[in-house]
Amino acid sequence: MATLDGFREARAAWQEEPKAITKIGKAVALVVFSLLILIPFLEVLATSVASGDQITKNGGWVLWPEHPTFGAYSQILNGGVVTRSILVSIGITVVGTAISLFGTITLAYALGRPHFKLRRPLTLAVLFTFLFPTGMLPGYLVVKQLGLLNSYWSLILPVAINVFNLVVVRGFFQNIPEELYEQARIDGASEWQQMVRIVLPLSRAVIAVVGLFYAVSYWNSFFSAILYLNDSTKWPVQAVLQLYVTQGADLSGSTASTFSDSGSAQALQSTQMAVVVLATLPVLLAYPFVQRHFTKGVLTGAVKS
Amino acid sequence: MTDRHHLTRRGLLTAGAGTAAGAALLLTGCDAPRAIRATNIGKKLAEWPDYVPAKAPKPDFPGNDAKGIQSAYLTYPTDLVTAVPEKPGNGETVTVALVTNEPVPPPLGRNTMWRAVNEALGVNLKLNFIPSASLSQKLAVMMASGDVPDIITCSDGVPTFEDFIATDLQDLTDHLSGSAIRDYPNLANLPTYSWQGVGLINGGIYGVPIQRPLPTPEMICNLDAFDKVGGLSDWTPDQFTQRMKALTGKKHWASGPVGKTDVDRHAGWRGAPNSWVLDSSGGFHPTEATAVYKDALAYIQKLVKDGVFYPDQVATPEAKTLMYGQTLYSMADTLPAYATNVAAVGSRFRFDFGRPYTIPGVTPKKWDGPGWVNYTVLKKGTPSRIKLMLRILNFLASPFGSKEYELIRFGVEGKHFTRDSHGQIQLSKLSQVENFNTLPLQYVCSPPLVAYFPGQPDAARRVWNYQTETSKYLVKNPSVGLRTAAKDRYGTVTGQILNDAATNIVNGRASVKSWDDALKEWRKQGGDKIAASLREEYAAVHGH
Repeated sequence: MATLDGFREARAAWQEEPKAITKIGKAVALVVFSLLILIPFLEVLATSVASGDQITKNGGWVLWPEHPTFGAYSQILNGGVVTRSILVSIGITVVGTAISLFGTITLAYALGRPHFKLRRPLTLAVLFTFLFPTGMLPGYLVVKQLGLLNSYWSLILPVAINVFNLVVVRGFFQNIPEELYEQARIDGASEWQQMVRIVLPLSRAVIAVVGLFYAVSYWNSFFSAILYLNDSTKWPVQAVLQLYVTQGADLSGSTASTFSDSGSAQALQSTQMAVVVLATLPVLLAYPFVQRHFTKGVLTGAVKS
Repeated sequence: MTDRHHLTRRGLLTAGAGTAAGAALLLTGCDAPRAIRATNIGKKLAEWPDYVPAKAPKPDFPGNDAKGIQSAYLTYPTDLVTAVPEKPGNGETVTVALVTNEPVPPPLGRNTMWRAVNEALGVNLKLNFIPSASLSQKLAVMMASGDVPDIITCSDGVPTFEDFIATDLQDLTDHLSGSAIRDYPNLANLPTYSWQGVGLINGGIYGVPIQRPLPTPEMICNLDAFDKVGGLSDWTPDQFTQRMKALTGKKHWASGPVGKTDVDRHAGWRGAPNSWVLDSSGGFHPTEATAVYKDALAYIQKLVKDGVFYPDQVATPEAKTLMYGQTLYSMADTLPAYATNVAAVGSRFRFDFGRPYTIPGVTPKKWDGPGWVNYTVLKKGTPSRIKLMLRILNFLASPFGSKEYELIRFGVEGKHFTRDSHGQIQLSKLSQVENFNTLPLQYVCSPPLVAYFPGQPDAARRVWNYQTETSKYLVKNPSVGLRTAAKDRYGTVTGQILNDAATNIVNGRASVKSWDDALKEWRKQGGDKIAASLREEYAAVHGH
């Protein structure tokens, strides 16, 4: 770029070397912003290992436990109920995510192929469930009619395919150049082989993202379990843990509904926070492994060129 | 260019609407049995169950159920009685849907307490735990699917649930009305006000109440703090304000978050009738429309301005934590919750209750609660099956001081508890997992609550004194026990209108004058219809 003598080369403002004060300002802003995110996490973690007396003295929250104790975790994990429910949750999450991914990928592939004759009516049928979702009662009646009550399948099959995820995956598949399909067809690849050998290797990002969406959704789900599983030993961890969080709250529907009842011993704040830690830890651990796919996966799938 | 297969937005919506309409028509054509509309109008009314106090160890301070005073025990009785001489069952399996607010217990195979209760009952209890927050949804799917267990704990709040009860569940009138209840002595020990609180459905008795004392909710206070500023009684509204202000400051507040409950309590103390004004012709008018209620609104608005209420809206458990830490010195809570509050603070400070203040020429009122927290209904069955269910409920209602109560409440001696040299219960480590909270059979059926607080006899004395001193002020809510279609349909919306308006006024976001607009809206949105329906239902039940 041409420059005038005596003047620095013209550069955009953001290309200039920032002044020291600006650097400090940015650093402070970043630190403050990070603390705003970190402190609540630390507070939850610290409160979960704080003593009851300190929590009461502090009005419910602790940032630095004076006498750390794992009593709350011990109380929750004692008795085997939570341990079993964690295994149930892991099973449902793994099996459910696998089934959901299989169903979503195969359906998205079919709906994305231009020569598939039933593409439009099937798309309409799928979108119909998105626009007019099943209510709780019809859903329950269908699950009952299918004989799925009190079965783990009731937590997986009714929610196996999420239309939003399906649309994202279909959009991603449609962005793959048609020439690649043609080349594969010329080489004698069947539809299945085209999907497995061409499409899937190119779609790792979107599959990782959608897989995480499914996994998080299965992991966090608790209401279906309460609705469909009468046997509480089959409940996943979130259904069990939510009772620790709501412990001591009111009996819903009672005429004194904003107050606690006599029978409800109020849960210690440490117990409730230990529940929060236990419930969120697996998801927090999983995120870093798929985080790098996030932007690419969602954005690419969302726009059809 | 639009190709003819192209799906337009309008086309999709039309198709959707058409399909939905078709489905609705198909569904209405189904041959489903028509639900019976529950009403007592024009029905022959069942006689209330006889009240026969059960045999139990003598309390240190006797109660009076009619006056809403609990029996108080300073120590755990050592002369336990046998309340149910014979096992209720003979190996039958009984399914129970019970509401819980606690973590679920270990399964039957690893639960000593559950097995011991089954053994004592002579049945195999299959428990379906329902978190209280999901109760209304579970009841709704029960109604829709017909999947009904033998015993259901339920509550009002699900629209048309009483219709379901009347249509699909067991009428217990023949088993419980009048002297028939004497076959179940522990159920006969439930006070009449609890039965009346649950009410009649189509003139019959369908629900067995889970009893709660009449006075509720209350202003529960840190007595030690209030004693420093003049105490919790013998006060006028001005003195009340002064003491509350004296306790407020330096990150401490005299009261928990403000709510309509506070206005209700103060309206009562100023003489307002409980929830409804019943006129001489049997008409119902909301107590919120009285001048006294407006006075209470203005009074609370002033107190909020004075800063005596905790400024953030926190839920009851959080408010309790603040109260235990003495950041707050009072809050609204149920009378029975006193037990858990007392246990939580131990000897750090004493709890007591705020007494009504005095205004010359005014007799204060304390509003009764409904006398129950939940009620239990039964699946239809043969007479022998129903008798089995009632024998189970009778067992679970065994009174305080009985061996059966001890099993349900504390578990098995030697496993869940031991006794010290004075015969007092000492809980074991196992009881942290297996206890009456995690196995909440108290919400299937339970005896009248007594005032007994392990290791804190003074706490029992204080609550008994409070009830004795203030029972003369108790007044009933004339709508208790009455269910109407209008209440079902408009109750939630109209309640929210008044609740929101009251919250806005006391927090200074609206003037007291705006209360009239809220009342107009209340009438417009169905309040008048509720009042009219209650008038008819009340006349049918009370005969005038």
